[in-house]
Amino acid sequence: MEYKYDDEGEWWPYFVIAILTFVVGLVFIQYVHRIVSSKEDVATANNSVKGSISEDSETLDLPHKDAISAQKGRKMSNLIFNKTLVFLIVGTVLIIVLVAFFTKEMDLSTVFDPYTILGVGVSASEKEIKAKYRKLSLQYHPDKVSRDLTEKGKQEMEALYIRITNAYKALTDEVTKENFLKYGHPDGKQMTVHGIAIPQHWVEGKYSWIFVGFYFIAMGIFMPIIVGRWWDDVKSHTKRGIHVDTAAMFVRNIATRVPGRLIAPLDVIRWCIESEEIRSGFPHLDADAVFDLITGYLNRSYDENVAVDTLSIVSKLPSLIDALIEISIHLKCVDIPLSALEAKRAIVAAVKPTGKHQDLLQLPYVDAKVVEAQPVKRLGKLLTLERDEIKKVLGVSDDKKLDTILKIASHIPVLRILKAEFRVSGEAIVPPGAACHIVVNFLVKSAKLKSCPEIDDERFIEEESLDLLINPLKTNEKQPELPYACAPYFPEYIRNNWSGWLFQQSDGKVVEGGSTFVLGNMDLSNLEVSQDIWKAGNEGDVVLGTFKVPFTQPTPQEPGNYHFRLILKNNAYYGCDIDIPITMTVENAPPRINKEKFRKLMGENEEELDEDSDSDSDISDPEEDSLAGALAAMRGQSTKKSSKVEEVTSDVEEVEDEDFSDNESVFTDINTDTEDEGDFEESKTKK
Amino acid sequence: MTTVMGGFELVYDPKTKKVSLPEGTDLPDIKLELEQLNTLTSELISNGNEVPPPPSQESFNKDMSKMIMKMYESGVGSFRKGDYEAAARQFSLGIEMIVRRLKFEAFQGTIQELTPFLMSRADAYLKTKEYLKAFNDADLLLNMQINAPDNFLRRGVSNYFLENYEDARADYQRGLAFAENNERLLSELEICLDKILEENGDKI
Repeated sequence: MEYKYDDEGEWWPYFVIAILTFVVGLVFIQYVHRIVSSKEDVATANNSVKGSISEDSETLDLPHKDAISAQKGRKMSNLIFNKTLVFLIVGTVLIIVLVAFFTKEMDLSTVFDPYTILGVGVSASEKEIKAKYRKLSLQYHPDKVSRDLTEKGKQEMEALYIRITNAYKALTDEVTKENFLKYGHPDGKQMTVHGIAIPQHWVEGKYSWIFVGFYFIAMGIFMPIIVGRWWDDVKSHTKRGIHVDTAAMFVRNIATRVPGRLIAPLDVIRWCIESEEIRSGFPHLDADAVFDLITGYLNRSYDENVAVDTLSIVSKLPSLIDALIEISIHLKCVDIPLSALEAKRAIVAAVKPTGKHQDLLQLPYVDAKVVEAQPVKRLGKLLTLERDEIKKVLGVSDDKKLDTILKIASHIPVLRILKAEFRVSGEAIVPPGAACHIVVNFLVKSAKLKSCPEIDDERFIEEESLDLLINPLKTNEKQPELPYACAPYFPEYIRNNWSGWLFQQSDGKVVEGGSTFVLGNMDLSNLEVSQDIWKAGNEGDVVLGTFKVPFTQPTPQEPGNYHFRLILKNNAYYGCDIDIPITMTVENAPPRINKEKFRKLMGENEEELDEDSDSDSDISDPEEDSLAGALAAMRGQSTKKSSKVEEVTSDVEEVEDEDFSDNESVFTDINTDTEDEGDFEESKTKK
Repeated sequence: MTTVMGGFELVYDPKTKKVSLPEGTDLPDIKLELEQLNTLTSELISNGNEVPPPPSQESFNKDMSKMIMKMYESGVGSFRKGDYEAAARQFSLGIEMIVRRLKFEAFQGTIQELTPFLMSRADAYLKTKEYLKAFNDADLLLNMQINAPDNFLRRGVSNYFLENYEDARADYQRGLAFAENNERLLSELEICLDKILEENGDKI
């Protein structure tokens, strides 16, 4: 073995090229991936989804369109023109220069492959090899070479002849063949040389200190700097990518808020303005100025002078709000997560979060003042009106614009929930202590479709394959991904989805351990069907959707009814939120008796067994009755006792709504109240 | 005397023993906290002892309870006569009396006294069609986790007349979670669902 320094400067280019290609290659892949993943073609993506809306600021010709495309362009150019690109260019140029000027052609004379030298195939027989060798040796034998050749030519010929002879031997002669197989060369073991791609005098000569110095700088200075920077970044940003100061501010605001005061969506936006991201990103604006810009954006007023700031501030808000949601869920807040979702949607749809007309205000071109002054609030109602009336309601006079509005309005997916229940895989009931999930069956519908089709019960039944028994939530992923939302005022493209939580009705809090549930997959093809097809609701025409929500805890041990409320809010559209009560009925499973075995044991026949079960229920019935009777008696007593104050009866005729006029019962529960009060009084006097 | 604390100035008046912000300072949260602090201080001083009495049933002011009870009964009387405005006024007066109770008294007792007032006042407000006020009372009750189905009914009806139909529906449904067969809640829910359909243009 031998170590050889690169004194002639032959090897180092290979060494450098190898390392450079490796690094540049990796960086290039990352760079391209980042660009490709960001530049998903929204229009094509949405066109492939049935029932999607593919309008944006460009196609709607909104006043912001230039500012928005500039904002998007800036983001894109930031992605393309950055330090990585410089690195890639310099690296590639270096590689090219090295390959072109510093590498020498490989000398293959040392590589020995007898088959190539003889020009025969690997599978050639000994006879063929012999024949070929004879032919070649006749051609290259030193005695046969023509005399006109120069001295040099002669030498080359001779070398070639030796190679041919060697190759022949390697394939025929026993010893040479063994050498070739063992060491890869017919002459036996060759010297192994380990090259070091640095000239010797760098390492051992008087300039060695330069080299040592270089090492020192690389390891002692650059490494710590790079690692330090990385660590600094880790320290200053949370796992979710928000600044630690921002996260701390959110926690502080949540902890110190006045308990009686509801946190409204605008409060959430105010908190986000205080974040480090906004403050350091826009140092020339104070909090009030930022808030004004945001309210201007929510009112859809366009000011060319501040458009750049406004749009870049607005595009930062959703991720901040997401971080706030996560923190507030951890801190067990009830109102903040919902307000935050509301705020996020207001930002995406560019609609004020206050008021009652958001359903209509989310549409493009509408005149907010006109809309807010009239009574129609829902898209469903709007789409029952005549064209002229719709124009009046929305304050839009242009027919072409109205067509676009109507197209968008009828393509906002509304969910009609048909069934929502807790289910345990492989069970007909919900037993105690089981792992369960919620199954929601729904129909996607356009706001213009009226009434609801009858769906056969059979269509709700889901085949329980082994796959689904293991992971029942798998069906969620199997449905097509929701398209990009139509949010022409928002400077970024976002995928449409619903997100929310499961709440306990008993205390109104999010279910323990419940993370945010996101519903991002759904078939929207129902949005394209006509009213008649919708009403018929045939399989194949009208798609029945299903989504499943995980329930993180085991079901309660005590049988009984447990009440929950599922709230899912859309991230871009108003008027299609899900807010449904769901009851979990926990029952003890009937004992599973192997009938056959039981009969044998008891020596009875089936009929008797049936009779038995009948008589069982016969016994239990009166028991229940008597218990219920006792309870009723207790109740009766207590009511008699409690009715100190005679029930106040009065009708509600003055109430303006007609529905209430026939309703004669009362609001007052003063009698029970006084009872409570009396109890306290009593307990006080006792003491 | 002026002290600088946490970046803002505080003024202490040795005569009244009150802490306040210098004039012209606009810090609503701190102002609220100082007011609470001053109330406690003045009550402690007027109490005479070095430490406030323990918040037990003995220290609960019974004379006050009698007055409050009387106020409640007269409110109920007005309500029964149909004079809802007078009833609301009397309930408000009662609530004010409860609020004026010494802060060192048992809060548990105060809450128990307050709940019937809030419930009845919400009812009176519903009768006088002051739905926002009714909503606030019912909302306060529910925020205190007094989850009686009737409180959900109160807030639901308020929401209904404030045209927050979806909220009304949610209130009724949550009330039904506590009393599954409450007929009043069921019928109101029915009305509310019809209204939602009508708003959607599903029913004309």
